[in-house]
Amino acid sequence: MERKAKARRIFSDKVKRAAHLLLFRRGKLPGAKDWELRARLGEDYEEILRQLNELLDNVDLEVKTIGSTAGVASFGETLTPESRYVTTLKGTISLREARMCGWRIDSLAGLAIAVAYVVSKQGKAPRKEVEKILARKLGRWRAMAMTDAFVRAGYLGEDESGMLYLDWRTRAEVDLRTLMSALAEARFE
Amino acid sequence: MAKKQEKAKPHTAIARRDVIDIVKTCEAIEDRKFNPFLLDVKYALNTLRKYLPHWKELEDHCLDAHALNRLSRVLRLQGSQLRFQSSSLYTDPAFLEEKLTALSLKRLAEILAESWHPIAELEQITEPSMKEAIAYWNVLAPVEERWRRFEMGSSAPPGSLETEDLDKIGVRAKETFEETLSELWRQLKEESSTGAVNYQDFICRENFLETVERAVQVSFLVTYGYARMVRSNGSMQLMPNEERKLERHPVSLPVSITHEVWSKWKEKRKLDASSATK
Repeated sequence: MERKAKARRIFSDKVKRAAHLLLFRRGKLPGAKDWELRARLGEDYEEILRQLNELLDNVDLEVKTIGSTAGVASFGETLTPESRYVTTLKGTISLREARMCGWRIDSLAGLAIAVAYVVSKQGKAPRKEVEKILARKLGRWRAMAMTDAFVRAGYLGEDESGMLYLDWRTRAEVDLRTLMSALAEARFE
Repeated sequence: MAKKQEKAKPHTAIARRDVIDIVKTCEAIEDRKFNPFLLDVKYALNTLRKYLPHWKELEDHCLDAHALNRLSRVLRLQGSQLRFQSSSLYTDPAFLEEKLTALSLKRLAEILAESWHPIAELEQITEPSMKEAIAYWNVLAPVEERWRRFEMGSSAPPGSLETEDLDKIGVRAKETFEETLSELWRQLKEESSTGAVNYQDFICRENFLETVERAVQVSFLVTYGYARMVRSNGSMQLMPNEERKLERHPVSLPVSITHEVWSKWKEKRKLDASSATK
C-alpha cells in the first residue's frame, strides 16, 4: 500500500516536471523535444504526457506534437522523426481576447490571407505573390513588414529561392482544415 | 543507307537546346510558376529517349541525367497535387484569391480566430534577466526627481492649431509613408541616372531633423530591396534597384548621425556646391 502511494507521488512529480518543461520557455522555441522529455522524465514520458493532457483538458489546454522539418515540407511528405511537444489552447479565442494578447485585427487577417494562400498553392508559394495578395488589403509596405514578422514568428518559413512555406508555428497553432473550409464557406461581403 | 542515318541523326545543338528547354520547364514548375500538369511528361521522355543514342560526350550524358531527374521531380509534384486536390484542404486558388480580396479584414480575422489554437507559454525569470533588472533599478532616479523634470510652471491657456501646425508636429501626415518611400525611390533613380549616388549627399538636408528622417526612409528602401548600399573609395554609395530585389544574405549596416556629423556633412556640401559653381 505504502509502495503504491510512493509510486503515485513519483508519477505526479513527473507530471509537474513535464508541465514545467512544456509551459516555461527555455530556448528559442517553446515546448520540449521528445529526447529532452525522455531524458528528464524517463522512458514512460508518453504516459506522463497523457496524464498531463487529462489535467490540462480542464483548463482548455492540450499537449500537441509537431514534427520538425528541415526546410520545405509539402503536403503528403513525411516529417522527420524528431518531434517537439508544445501546449496549445484546445478551444479557440475570440477576437477581443486576441486583441488583449497583443494581436491587431489586421495582423490576424494578414496571417489568415498568407496561410490560406500558401495552402492553396500546396504549401509553397513565392514570397512576391504572398506579398502581392497581402498588399491588396493592407498596402505594399505593411505587406512586406507583415511577411517579415510572420517569418520571424515561425508562422512562415522562407527557403533559399524565396519561396514561402508553412513553418512550425502554423503547424502547431492553425487548424488548416477548419480555416480552409471556413474561407470556402464564407459569404461574399 | 549511311546517308539516311545521317539524315535521321539530330543536330547536337538542337538536341541540347531541346533538353535544356525540358530542364527549364521542370524548374519553373518546381518554383510553382506553372501547373505541373502543363508538362507532357510522356512527350518529354520520348524526346530524351530519341536523343540518348546520339550523345557522345560526358557533358551531354550529364545533361540527360539531369533532365531525367527534373522530370521525376515533376512527376512527384503531379502526384502530390492529385493527393492535395482530393484532400479537404483543396480550394481553387483563383476562387480563394477572389474570396480573400472580397472579405473584410474583420471577417478574415474572425475566420482565423475560429481555427487558431495559440501556443501557451510563459516567459520565466532567469539569472541574467534578474541582474539586468537589478542594474536598472539601481540607476533609476527617485520618483520625485523624475517628475521634477516635467514641472514646467503654470500652463499656457488653450489655443487653436491650424492644419499646417498639425503637419509640423507630425499629428497629421501630408502623405502616407508608402507615398513618401515611393517618392524617395523615384528621386534616387533620377539622381543615379549617371551612376551611384553618395549616401551622405543624398540624405543630407538643410535641417538636422529632415536629414535623420531621410536616413530612416533610406534604410527602409534598402531593407525592402528597392536600393542597395555599396562601399566605394571609403564612402558609402547608394544604388537604386529597377525593381524590388531582396538580398539573400542581408547585412546590417549601422549609421550614426549626430548633430556634429550632420554639421560636417553640411559644411562639405556647401564647399562642394561653391567649387561646382566656380
